[in-house]
Amino acid sequence: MKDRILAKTDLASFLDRLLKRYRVVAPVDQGEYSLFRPLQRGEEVCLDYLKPARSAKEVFFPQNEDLFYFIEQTQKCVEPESIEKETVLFGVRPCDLKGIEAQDRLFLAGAFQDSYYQNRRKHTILIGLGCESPEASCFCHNFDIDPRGSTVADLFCVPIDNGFYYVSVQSKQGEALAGDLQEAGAEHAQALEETKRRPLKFSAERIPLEELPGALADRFDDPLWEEIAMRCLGCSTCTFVCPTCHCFDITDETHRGVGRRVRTWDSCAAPKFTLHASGHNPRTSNIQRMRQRILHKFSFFKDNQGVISCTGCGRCVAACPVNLDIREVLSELLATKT
Amino acid sequence: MSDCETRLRQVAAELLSSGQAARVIGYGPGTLPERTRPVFLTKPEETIVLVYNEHCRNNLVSYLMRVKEEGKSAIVCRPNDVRTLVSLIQEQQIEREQVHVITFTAKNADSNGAQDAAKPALFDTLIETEVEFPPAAQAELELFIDKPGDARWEAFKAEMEKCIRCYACRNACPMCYCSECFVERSVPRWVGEGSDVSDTMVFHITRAMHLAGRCGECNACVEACPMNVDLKLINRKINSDLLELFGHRAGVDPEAPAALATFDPNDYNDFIK
Repeated sequence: MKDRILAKTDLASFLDRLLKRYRVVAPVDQGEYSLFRPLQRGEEVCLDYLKPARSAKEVFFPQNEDLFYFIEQTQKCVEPESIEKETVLFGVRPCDLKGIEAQDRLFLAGAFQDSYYQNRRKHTILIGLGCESPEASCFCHNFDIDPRGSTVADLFCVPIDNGFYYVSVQSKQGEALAGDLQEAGAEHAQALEETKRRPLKFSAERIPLEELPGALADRFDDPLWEEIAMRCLGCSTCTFVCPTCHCFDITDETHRGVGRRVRTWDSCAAPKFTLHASGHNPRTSNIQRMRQRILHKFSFFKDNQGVISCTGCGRCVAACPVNLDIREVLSELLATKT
Repeated sequence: MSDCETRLRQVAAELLSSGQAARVIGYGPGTLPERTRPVFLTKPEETIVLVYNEHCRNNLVSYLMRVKEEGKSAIVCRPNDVRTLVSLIQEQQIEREQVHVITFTAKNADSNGAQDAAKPALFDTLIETEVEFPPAAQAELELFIDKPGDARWEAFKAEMEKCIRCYACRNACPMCYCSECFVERSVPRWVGEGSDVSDTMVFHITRAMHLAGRCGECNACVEACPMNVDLKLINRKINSDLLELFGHRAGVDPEAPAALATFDPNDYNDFIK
């Protein structure tokens, strides 16, 4: 499989060619931020913002998903329509690719596969995009992520000098997309190496996350949790913008003899997240919910799925209405460990 | 550091060291450029972190309702935040004696003051400042109102489609203090979960009606929203209707009764045919 190059000025026409055969989803300008949206034309792609305001997870795990329908008259259940067209998802940063990897482990690995996630995931080809410089909120350097490469993607584009992307072809599916692009020459490979050698400046020091499980183990009743949770509003912003958060609720919606079972995003930060049918709620305080959130993402998920449920994308840091900064929380938990 | 910040830190430190206040709720520097964050201080030496600048978003008044411990809370309020505090006192959610209100007045206040008249309705400490939180342009609101019905609905719907139902707006709002919000009830379920735009509209319209006559236009909801939904439009429209119909603005007069909780024989009744 030969690597390719693509001029930045040719990006729109490359996407137009893909649009002839595929549904193409890419970052699209929404006014003050971009979001992953289906393209009508290649020129709609917007890379003005480092990454879209919400992660790529909504392509495979949408906020609202109809699981099935049920009809009163016929007493039958109806499956949702199956996917007709393959999707190309373009412009996924390494932090979001790592998020996809984490969600793959949750939804696909193990004895039970989530068929809804699986269906969207297997019909999607991923084109990753390397970062040129981090934002103030970025902290992917904590998570074994290379901002300029990822094997999760079928194609991976790194911006190199002279207005080009170096396109690494990493799978057969990727090769099918990139076949009409110019092959990369030795000078391009060298430009790639030079680019990768340039250091990236992050605004915060690396946090020794490997020490975290030990630090958290003894701290369940530590008063520090109250301090951490003090400014938290208990909304779901951090959960919804996060590439790895995956909790959901399932409800039935009915209207005039037709019903649907729908899965929607939920958040452990929400007060009624753990409300039982009995009326008992094991987590009634913000402190308990905040503690659970941190422990789940940075300890329990690692135990269960093998990776930390965080990719350092920093969206939660940027989006939190009260600037609750997870980097600071983790550092505090580590700093004063007994 | 500005004069107003020097004064603010002085006042806060004195309140704590003299024991007049058990805590100070204010703004401190954020971890990102152009951000501040709520801070909760109990020791005089901690007051060195206090800031007051145009990056102060969040209405800190909602934190007053969380305080369970004894002792007065000193609170840093932007001018329109004071309006929400006045409303909460009128609604008997906060006791006046429990708070020491530190707020700000424009250095060269005029009668059209961007900060809602020169003197706030309530204060214990008033500090002069050049920091302004200008209200959104009236022109913007008029654009929304002047649209004919269908176009206004489309404009409203376009904003609603951005909403992801994170409830940051509701949780940031001091006037939303119900122990159980109507969206949290599942039997009966008033609103569907998820971001279906029809359900989202029900949430925002209902919340706006619950805020009618109570919204202090502090802008905390707009600032909290991660998707930049323009919540000002609907709240300000309702507020302007209330001013027209009842001559009432929330939180500017501690003596004025709540418009929608009071019967006045002079209330308009043109709708009775």
